[in-house]
Amino acid sequence: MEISAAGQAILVAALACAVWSTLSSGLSVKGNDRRLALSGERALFATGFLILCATVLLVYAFYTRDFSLVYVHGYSSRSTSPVYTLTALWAGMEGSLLFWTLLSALYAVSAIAVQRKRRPDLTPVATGTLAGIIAFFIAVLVFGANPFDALSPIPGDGAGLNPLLQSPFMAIHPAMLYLGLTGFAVPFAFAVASLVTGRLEAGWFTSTRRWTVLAWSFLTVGIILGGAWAYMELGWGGYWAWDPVENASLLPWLTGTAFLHSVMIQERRQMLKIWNVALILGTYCLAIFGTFLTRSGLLSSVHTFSESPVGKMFLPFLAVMLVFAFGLLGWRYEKLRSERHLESMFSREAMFLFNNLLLVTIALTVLWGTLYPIMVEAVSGAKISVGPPFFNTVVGPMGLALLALTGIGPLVAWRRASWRSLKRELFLPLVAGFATVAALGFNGVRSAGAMFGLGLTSFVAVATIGEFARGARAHRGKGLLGYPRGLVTVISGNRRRYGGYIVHLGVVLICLGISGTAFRQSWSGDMLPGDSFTIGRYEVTYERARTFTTDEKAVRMAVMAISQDGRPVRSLTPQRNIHLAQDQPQSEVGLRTTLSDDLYLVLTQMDSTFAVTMRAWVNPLVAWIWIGGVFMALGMLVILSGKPPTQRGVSPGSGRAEKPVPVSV
Amino acid sequence: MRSWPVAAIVAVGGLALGFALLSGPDPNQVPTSDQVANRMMSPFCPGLTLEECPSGQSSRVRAEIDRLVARGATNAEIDRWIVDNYGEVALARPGGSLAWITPPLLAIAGLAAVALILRRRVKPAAGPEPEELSERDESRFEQDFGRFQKGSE
Repeated sequence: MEISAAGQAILVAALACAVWSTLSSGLSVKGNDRRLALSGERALFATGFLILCATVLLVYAFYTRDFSLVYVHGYSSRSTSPVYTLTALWAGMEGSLLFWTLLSALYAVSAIAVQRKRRPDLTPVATGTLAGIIAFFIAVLVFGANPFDALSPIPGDGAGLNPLLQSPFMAIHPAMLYLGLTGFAVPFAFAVASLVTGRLEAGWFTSTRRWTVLAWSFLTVGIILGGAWAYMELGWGGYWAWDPVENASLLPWLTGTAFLHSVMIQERRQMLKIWNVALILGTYCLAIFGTFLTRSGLLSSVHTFSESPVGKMFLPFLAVMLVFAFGLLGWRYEKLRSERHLESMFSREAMFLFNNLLLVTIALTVLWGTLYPIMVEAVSGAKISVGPPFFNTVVGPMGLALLALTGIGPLVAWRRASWRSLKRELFLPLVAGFATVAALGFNGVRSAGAMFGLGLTSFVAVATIGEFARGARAHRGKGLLGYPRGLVTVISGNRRRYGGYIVHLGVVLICLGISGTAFRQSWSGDMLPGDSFTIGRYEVTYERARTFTTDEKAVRMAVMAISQDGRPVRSLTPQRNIHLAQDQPQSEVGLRTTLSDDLYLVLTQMDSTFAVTMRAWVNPLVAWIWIGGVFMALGMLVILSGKPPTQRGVSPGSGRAEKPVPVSV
Repeated sequence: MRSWPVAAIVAVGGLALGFALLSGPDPNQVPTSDQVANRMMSPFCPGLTLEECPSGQSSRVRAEIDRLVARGATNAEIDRWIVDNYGEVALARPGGSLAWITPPLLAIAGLAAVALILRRRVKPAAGPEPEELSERDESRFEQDFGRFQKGSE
């Protein structure tokens, strides 16, 4: 049997299973039919298995260089390395959709397998919801972007992988991003289940909190790796361009972050129930919206390699999801209303409320800026752009306010804080903040944004470290190692809280790195061998050119001698290469990274006389962004390594004991 | 207690609106080449500004901007030159106030919603303000709590 026919047959079978799972799970709810529910679960497991088979088959086709498939021919060649042969799976539209479907299915199968015993009251609806989502994606694969489409006649070699995607960061970044975005389907499905069944008090979110944290963690790492890829591969000197596709991944991250904070209020005080359900429903809808945006080609983007007409199929799906999810929320509105009240404006709850307000406003602003060109074109026909100046100007101040709350929030007590206590806790952070501003001013810095940003960074860093110090002091033992032991005890004793603080420290370091943008320097010009220029503390000399050809590319390299503060350091070799299979030019950046700054060289042109056009940037503090990313990942690991959560007063399996609510769905 | 959220909304909203309306560059000022390159979308690199675009063709546009700046062209004149040569799509800062006013309005609407919630839902607990623990009591509490946490592991 041909691989194309086999693949198509597996996808059709998977679609049938997913549709059956959706229907039987949905029908089982109305009559409380356990057999139908079980059938739905099994059909979901079968769907997962079939999608796994389809993926393995496509990977097999890649490794056996089976160019009878259009997709394999389009994204690999005989010279593609084994690692990039695997990552070619998600290099194009069809394969990446299959990969997305696989991850959705794996999440769905794992979540249902775990929760069917813990929360049998919620699993039928959750199964149906997850199966419905997966069914849609399989339908897109079968009818719109089939990775098993056959090619005839069969060519001897493939077109090869886009050279921009042949990067270690690009090998991991999409996988992480997809793991994040698809993971939000689990809390979404359980939120829908809690709304449908009316079991709104029994901690649907505690059942799925680890899944939410896991998804958020993957998304965070994916976004940071995407920035690292853009910085090291695209050669434009930056890591975030407010590109529509970047924005699309940021939107669910922002609302997901808001959810992870506000859900704590519901856990502790049984408040904000409507808000929390709305946030998690919105987060997954935004994840789907991002997929639509990426694949529709609606907006001009550096991610143009992933455009396709299948974007049109996402719009009705998104509309159905929004109407279904928020319709349910409206239906259960009265039941979700909280009886509890805030006791003080000056409490942890109120701080979380402001944190959520800022995160959601930033999300709406990014959404607005991303969609504004489409709206203007639809209304007036004019083509306009909304670029970095808009986002930096509008989002920047809100981001700084959010950073301030990151420092203040943990210092404020639940229910009602006392001014005296807070003043004492704030003293050192405020001193650190003002001292930073004064030191910057003393050193001639006049950028208000940089002074404010770095001052706040110091403030939050000291406030967060203070939390660790207080915890370590309370648990300290005797002797020299008393405090370190106390620190380990306090972190391992409350991993969720202190893991969160480690994440906050990561955010602080990332903000430190971003603040460096204010001190960025750039240079561009034409050079001949022997020419030099000075940028920041570096003197850069164009020593000589090297040109050679490999099997894959024609390389044009400029050997640049670097001297830092008058001392010679390692040479950099920025390149401008032509990838032969694709006839595509690509720049390889010359990069020298230190903790204080990066020297970033891009060769944009080299002619036959070896005259070059060179662009150079000195990007201060960028390394701290990647270090902050590592801190964030470490914090997430600490959170995830803790014990599974239980809601206060509600045991994990208490859903079974609850009185069933009549459902008429 | 009840009126301060409204005052906060007015203050923050006023600041935000003023900020939004005044956020554009002064049309009569002569900018630097870098300032222009940072607010012009590159015609050669989708989604990137001219400053960020690594394409060789962008260098020619930058050289053109350098000449305009050297001649003393103002922000308004340079923006007109960008629109005439590359279309409105090359301006990274959207024209018109709607794009700029909407985010502050969103923030004000959000603040108003929070203020409304708080006005309706903040109910001070009965009894006096929580008393501050003395240094000695706080230290005793921290040590006891530490022992409790160690014991519960």
